[in-house]
Amino acid sequence: MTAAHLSAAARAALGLLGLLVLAVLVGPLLSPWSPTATDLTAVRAGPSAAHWLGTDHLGRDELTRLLVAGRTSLGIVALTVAIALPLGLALGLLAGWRGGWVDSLVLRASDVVVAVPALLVGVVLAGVLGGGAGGLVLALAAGGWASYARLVRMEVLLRRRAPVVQALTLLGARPGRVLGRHLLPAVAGPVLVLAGTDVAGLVLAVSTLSFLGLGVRPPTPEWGSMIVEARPYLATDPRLFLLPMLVLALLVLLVLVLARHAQAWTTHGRPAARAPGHRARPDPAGRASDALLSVRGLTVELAGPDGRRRVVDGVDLDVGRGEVVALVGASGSGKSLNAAALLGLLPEAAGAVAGGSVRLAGQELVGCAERDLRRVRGARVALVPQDVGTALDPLRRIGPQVAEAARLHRGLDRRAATALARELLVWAGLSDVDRVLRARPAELSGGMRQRVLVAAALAGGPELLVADEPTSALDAGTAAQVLALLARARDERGTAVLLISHDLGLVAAHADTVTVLDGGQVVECGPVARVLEAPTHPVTRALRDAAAPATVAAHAPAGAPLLRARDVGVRYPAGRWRRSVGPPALAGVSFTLPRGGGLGVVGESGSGKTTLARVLTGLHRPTTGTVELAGAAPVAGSGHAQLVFQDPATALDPRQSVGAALEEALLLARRRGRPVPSGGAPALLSRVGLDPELAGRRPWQLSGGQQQRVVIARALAAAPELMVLDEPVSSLDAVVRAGVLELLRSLRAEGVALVVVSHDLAAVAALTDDLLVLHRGAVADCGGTPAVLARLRRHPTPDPASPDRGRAATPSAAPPPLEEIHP
Amino acid sequence: MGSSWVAAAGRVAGRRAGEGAAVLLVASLLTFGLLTLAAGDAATAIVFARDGVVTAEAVARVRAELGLDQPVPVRYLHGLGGLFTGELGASARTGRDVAGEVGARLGPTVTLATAGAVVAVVLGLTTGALAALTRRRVVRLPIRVGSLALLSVPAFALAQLGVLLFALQWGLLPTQGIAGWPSLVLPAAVIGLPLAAVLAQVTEARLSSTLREPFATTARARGLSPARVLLGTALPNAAAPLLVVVGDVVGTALAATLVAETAFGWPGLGDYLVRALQFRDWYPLQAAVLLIAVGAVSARGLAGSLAALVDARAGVRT
Repeated sequence: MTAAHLSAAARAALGLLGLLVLAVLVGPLLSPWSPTATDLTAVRAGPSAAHWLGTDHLGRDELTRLLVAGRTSLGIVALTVAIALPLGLALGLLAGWRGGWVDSLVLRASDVVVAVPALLVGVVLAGVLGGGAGGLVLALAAGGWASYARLVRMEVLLRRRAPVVQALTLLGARPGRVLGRHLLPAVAGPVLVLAGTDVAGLVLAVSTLSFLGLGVRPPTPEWGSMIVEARPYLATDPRLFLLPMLVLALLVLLVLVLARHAQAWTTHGRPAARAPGHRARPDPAGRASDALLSVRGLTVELAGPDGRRRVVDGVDLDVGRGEVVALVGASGSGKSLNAAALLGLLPEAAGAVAGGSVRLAGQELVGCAERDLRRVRGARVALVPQDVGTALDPLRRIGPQVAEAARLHRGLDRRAATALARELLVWAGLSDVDRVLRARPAELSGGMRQRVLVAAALAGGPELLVADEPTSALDAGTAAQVLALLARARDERGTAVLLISHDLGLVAAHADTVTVLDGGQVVECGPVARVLEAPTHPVTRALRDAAAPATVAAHAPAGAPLLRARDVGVRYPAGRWRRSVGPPALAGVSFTLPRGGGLGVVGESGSGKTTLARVLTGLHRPTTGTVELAGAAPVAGSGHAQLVFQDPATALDPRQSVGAALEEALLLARRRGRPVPSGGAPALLSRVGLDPELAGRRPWQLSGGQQQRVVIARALAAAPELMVLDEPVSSLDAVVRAGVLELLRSLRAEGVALVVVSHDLAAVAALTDDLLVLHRGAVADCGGTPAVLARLRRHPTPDPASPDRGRAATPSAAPPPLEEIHP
Repeated sequence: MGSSWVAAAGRVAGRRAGEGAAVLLVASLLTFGLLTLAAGDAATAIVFARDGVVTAEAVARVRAELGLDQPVPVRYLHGLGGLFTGELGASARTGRDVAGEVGARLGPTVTLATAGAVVAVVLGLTTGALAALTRRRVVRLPIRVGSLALLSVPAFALAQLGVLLFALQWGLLPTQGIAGWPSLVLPAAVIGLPLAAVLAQVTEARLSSTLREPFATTARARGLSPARVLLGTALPNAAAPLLVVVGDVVGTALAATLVAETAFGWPGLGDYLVRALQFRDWYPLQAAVLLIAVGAVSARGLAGSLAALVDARAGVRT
């Protein structure tokens, strides 16, 4: 990073600070005056050619004293940081990485330091240790290390389980390498920010201690004591007070401004500019002009680090009264911003602005005053938000949240609004409604929350529901039920629905017309049946094929199984002393997988999928049961098993170039005695279909699909027999997704066994022969992939729409015998 | 479900109390240990101050009077026990009973710290909320610049600036001692303003990030005004982390009385502590340090327990 990445304010601050420090260091050497030489004939003289800033009450040169005082102050601060920072860094790294009693000890020690105000600690220590620079440094450092230790501990704790650390561990990297080469550089940014704030605080503390008579003793000049000495002359000569105060304040101000910019300066991960989307003309199809919602030429621009970016580009869209219209596109195609723009709810922080026209029954909404928009939101257009986990206020009870729009827009009193909320919740299919009304969101399941959100959206009596990926956080069964609920809203209440989704297959059953979005532009639109049968655009084809994929050529692999899991169970320690055990994260999971085989694992979030992935790769030891990989228990770092992650960006170190990451993986594999593929990093890149030229790039300069290919290439460096893929394609666009799926199928053909953990049924169907359905840690169903998928579509996993989740915590199906999967 | 979160918060409060007691024990041990190791002999200083001449007999007599001739652990335990019985020993400097001296100074310090904390919390929360609510530069820029400026000036210099402007230039306020509420204004401002700047920044950051949460968007999508979303949704949800910061602010305000009382000659505990430190006067120092530490630790503990209560209601595990 160079100064070019700094903002103008930061550059100015850096320049000024440099000048100030230089003056403080060099100035005293050039000055003809001694800072302590008194001259009682020239007491408190004004500025002159000899004394540029005049003299003080003893006739000493003010400028020289200011500069020497700065040198004293900066010296003490630098020494303090030189002691506190390395100490805190080392303790924080140790505590965060080791955990256990080491962590408790460091945390408790820092608790003691932090609990007592820093000023009190500093004053007592400085007073007791006696004046002078040495005592001052020790007093300040004794309190200073704790904040560094706590910050570094927290950062390491957060990153200890990060995908990039897991990937390196599986490749055989030892903790020293992971800490020194990957974690330490990552925490440098936050530490630098803290150091800036710390330096500012220390400069203030040094002067405060002098003021209290506990710091640097006169006649050594120090800003704090200069301010104190100026006190008797406050009325007659405020210059003697103002000068040291202003210099001190300027220094602290500059350091604070820089600290604020330090974060941006050390962050390497800048979002890459999106590649331009496909240009294609949608068929305008002169639609009914009496549409309820009529969008014409809608554009949304976001302010990014590389200037303004157009993320929604000239979208036309119509929704008639009582119509269900699907807006489909891969992630990043601009669908959600489109929805936000319709309600005038674009993220202000991102500097988003909308252009074009959005008319609701003839009323223009773009550029409409906030006050008028508020009468539309909730009353005429309501939002069914995306993330059921966070879309409800966690502190408020369900009843008031559902009733809110009714009270606001229909003028109902509390009683009437609650009655309406109750009615809507019953309509939405919730049982035990009186209890739900009083519950807080955390007490409800995901499926129940989404029903609550639909009910809350309908409370204002809207003409249009905008449902933004209403099912993305739900398992397949619950998703279907929620879509049916939206369809009922149209059928029974005449509410039009704009259904935004990435899943063409899911919406096909419920929508009348579909509009396909890619790169912020409409690439195709028309009636659902027509678009599904005869898509005219490659993106639509890719989305359709993703929904209904070709099944993998089932070649029956022979030989001894590569992977065998018997009755695997995992319980995580819980409770105050981590002694008791919580409910099982995994219970009684058994299966076998041959070499080159493919096993899918599906289930809603929290069903134990990720735990299973960690157990199979050896990152986590099962509490009960056994796992055998190539005849032995899996050992993380042996190289036999590798993981591929949902978000490839988090699995790569943003500071490392692609080539360096691959070379590191090859080096580690060689050290572990793996049969390393020949040809080095370029060969690995070509094997995953990437240009070897990309070796010089950093991860953030690559697209999501390229990143995922790099993660796969790095895994291949260890020549693994098993690859566990955790949602390998769910963050990719449709076209890129198809390419990555193709690559993974070719790996299977080469003999690499795959375990695909996903809630994306299409991806699982494309990659696996057998399928395991997990529900609350237990196997709910298993067998051949097509058969299980068929059963799953008919009888989705139970989402008990009752508030008593504990009652259904026992596995709903006993694990089948091994033979049922591989006879 | 009703009582479970109360129980959870109760557990947190109990844990905090235990931690607080441990912190205070360590603090007293350290204060005493360091002072014993590094102390100049208080008895000698007293004899010199009283008689003008130092003789071995006079020093020994004073040492015996003060209990300084006893072994170190005995003196520590004696002092610690005194904290509970109210026998806090006598000041080596004034010869008077510490409990009486501290009692007289407690009131003014509580008044001053409370006033400072009120200034900090009221000003900090309102300006922070204002900055989070609007994107208009006319509002945000002065808040940002003002808080940065307040954070860049040490409190004692701020005190002197206040004296220069409000007392010497305009003659509005008194500068020394206690003389009715006008004498409270400058010390309370010196304590409260820098803390208000800290709190304003934290409040703005917390509220802004809560306003970006999906549930805040959902609330706006129902047609609520930004101000109602801020007060009804963002503020309660940001309350837990803000409460923790407010606890810190109150504790820091107590410690800041050291500077403000010294600067304005306010006859409180902070002023007492600084004088005791300069004289290495053990019993008064121990009492003042521990009292201020107890106040700060209790403020943190109380705020932390309240925050845990809020978190427990939201179903966040603590």
